[in-house]
Amino acid sequence: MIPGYMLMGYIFMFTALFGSVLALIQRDLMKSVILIGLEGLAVAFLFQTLRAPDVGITQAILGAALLPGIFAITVYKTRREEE
Amino acid sequence: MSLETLFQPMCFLTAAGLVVVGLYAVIFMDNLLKKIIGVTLISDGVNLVLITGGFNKIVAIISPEQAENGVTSVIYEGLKEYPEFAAQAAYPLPSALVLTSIVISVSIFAIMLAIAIKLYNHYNSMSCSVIFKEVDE
Repeated sequence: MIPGYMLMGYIFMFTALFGSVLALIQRDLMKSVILIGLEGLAVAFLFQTLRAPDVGITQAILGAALLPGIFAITVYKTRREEE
Repeated sequence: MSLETLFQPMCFLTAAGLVVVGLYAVIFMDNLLKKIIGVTLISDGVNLVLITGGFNKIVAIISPEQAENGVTSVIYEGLKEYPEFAAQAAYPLPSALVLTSIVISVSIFAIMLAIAIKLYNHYNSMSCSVIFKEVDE
């Protein structure tokens, strides 16, 4: 019987890969920024399942909240559509 | 080969996939913001490789004879009394180093995005082909 945290880990691996591919094929850059936040959150939960909870907390704050924030500021200062 | 033993190799494969997708974005995407997104993907992949290498590694850094004798770690002698904990614990060195790496990478991305905004204000475009053409002329 597979433990529950490993099942969650497999789900988060799929989410990270699929979110990163989806973020790169968007034409609207704001959607791309939101999907990069989803990928950072999936990697944060994956750190948690790999028994490194301190790294998971830091990644959840910086990679899933602060980094999409400054990306969104950049999209707001420049243009939103990809030419 | 069950799903349980495949967990660590699948984590390595996920990290490799993130690095490959990020390299594709850095090399072939035209938009400057998507190139920076590719760099974040590479950074996440490298951090994931380091953390996955430390998963369940306290048992793996000793020889099999020592494991049969009940020694769980050469470095951590006190763990002999807690073999179940030592069989599950992760190696603590990569998590201590990756913590620094994440913080540094976020500040580097802030600088990269600031330079991207300056480039947009100067050339009035985020496309790399337009910027490089104007640089050549």
